[in-house]
Amino acid sequence: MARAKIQRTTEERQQLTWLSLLKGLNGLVNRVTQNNIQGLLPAFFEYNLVRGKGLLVRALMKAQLASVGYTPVYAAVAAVINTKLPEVGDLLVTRVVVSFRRAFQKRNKPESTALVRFIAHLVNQQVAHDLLALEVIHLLLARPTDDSVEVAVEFTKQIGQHLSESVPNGLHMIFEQLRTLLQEGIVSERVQYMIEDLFEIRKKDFADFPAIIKPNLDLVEDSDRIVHEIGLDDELDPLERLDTFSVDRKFRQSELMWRSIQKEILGGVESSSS
Amino acid sequence: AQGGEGEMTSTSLGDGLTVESNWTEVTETFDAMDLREDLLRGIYSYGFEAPSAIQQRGIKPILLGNDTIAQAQSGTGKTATFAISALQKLDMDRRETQALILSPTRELAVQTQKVILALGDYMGAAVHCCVGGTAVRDDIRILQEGVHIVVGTPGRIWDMLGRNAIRTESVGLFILDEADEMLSRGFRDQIYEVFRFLPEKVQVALFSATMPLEVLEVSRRFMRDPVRILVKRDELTLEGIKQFYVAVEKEEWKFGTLCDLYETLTITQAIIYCNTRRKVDWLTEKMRSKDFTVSAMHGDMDQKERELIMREFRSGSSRVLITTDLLARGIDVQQVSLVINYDLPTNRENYIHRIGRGGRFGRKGVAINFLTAGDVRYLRDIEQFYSTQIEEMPMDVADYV
Repeated sequence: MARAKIQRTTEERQQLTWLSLLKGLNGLVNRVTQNNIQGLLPAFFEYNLVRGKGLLVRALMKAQLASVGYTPVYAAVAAVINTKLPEVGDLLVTRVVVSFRRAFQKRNKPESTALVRFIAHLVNQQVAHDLLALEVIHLLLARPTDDSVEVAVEFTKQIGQHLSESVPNGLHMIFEQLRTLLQEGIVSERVQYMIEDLFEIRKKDFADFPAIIKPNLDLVEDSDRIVHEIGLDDELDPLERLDTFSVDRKFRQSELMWRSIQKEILGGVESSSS
Repeated sequence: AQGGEGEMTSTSLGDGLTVESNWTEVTETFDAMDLREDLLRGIYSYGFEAPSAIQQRGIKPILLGNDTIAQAQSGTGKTATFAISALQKLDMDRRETQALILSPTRELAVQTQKVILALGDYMGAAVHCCVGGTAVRDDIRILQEGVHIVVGTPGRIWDMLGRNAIRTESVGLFILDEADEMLSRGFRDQIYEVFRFLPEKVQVALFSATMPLEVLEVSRRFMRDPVRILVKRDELTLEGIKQFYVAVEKEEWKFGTLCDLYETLTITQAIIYCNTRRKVDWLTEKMRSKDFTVSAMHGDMDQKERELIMREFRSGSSRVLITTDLLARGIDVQQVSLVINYDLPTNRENYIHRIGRGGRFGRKGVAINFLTAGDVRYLRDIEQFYSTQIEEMPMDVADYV
């Protein structure tokens, strides 16, 4: 009897692991900044990110929405983890796209603005593909309203520097479309100013809006990048079931598997830095 | 224009604000204020979309030349009210001081200067900030080169006037910001002295959160038939702010509780209040050892240091600001979603200054109070004083933050 009490059931034990995964990843996401990201990254891999990828992605997206200013930091975290565990990047881009589609449909401007910023920096870090960026802009400018153009301008600010190098023609087309909008005068004065400001920003090569903040957030070699070609109109599964606890019948096995993946990753981190 | 003799009308705005005013005209958009185009541009590029309650009512009478008293708490948009008014009234061809603004603290003066510079960016407005703790010689040099607007603390401004570094013949608008706070800090005589330097016909705009006798006396002596606007929160500034307590029983358990919060909630940036400088230092060290990026601030720091730290925190390069009460008032940190009272404030008036920060501009804010066994009665006292409720932190608190 006493023994049965002390010995926790398998489910309880798994639940505790799950809880520490949830809390640990959340705690890391709450702490990461431009300045400590390098030191903090190995700590992410202390957690079973195969089991916890839903939790990590959820924590990143919640944090990004609450603090849009940290978007480049979260995108950099995602970019590094993506090189080791591409399924994390894949899930993040999938969910960001799904959330953006939902926010856009509901005409929720603050959320749309935040989410396009995340998309922009995921493209800047080449976790998501350039094509996604162009599709987003296309959607925003297809039927221009004050709100959609404002979101488009915000997005272009964040993605402009990257596109000017990778798809200059695409960027050119965006600016032509914006110029037409100005000439037609179908948006309010306030939004016209924004567009004009954006032209100024382009003139200065987006100097105040770097694609990747160097050196702190420039953490991935180009050859290590794994770009997910997820399109705006793709049929996507955000795998929400990953975010809730369920008993893993092969718990020990999957933990052991993670150990070996982790060893490979952390070993790799050490050897590449030494 | 409508004069100060008009009847006071009261309007509830339904968002926790009530306005009482003898000025009934409401201008609902910036477009409709007949502002100069370059100023309008500055306003929009600063991120404003629509004017706040006080801006809708306060800008117009000032532009029309009325002496104006605006009673409003911080967070209602009063800085922009007088900033926009002062900028609109500038004659850009004259590089002379045309508006003079008094602030109670260095921090507030610096912050005000930044707002005016940002709003007046496209106009090319020159704004100088005169505060103690900086070199007098620099002030004099800059002032002599000519600026359009001067903002500063009463002592330094008075000093500059005495040295004839600020020429007053072109000062058409004199603004007293947080007048109650200035008077409670003992600046009464200096404010009166400053008035003596100003032209007879100077227009006065006075902003204050409360209207104690001393403030009324200033308005009686120096203002003519003022327009009065009162914007008050129906339930003080705790309106819209979720307040919780966590029973930690013992002092030693507070740190563990703090770490647990960071693992449970989504915390963009937080301000943590401690009651002593020693505690600030201790907690800073403790959090840094756990990989938190922390900024710490206390009253013993000089102005430069404090500015640097606020800049660091505002820029986001640190995510935690640990501080004492001394600097709680007037610091505008928009992105802060969470205030933690690691120690309950020793005086209940400070509670609202600490917590009020999170609830600005209708943003939801959350305040969490750490409560040792001995603190319980102080918490009850605060609840009673503000007739508010501070509940035990629920399990689903993550949904609020």
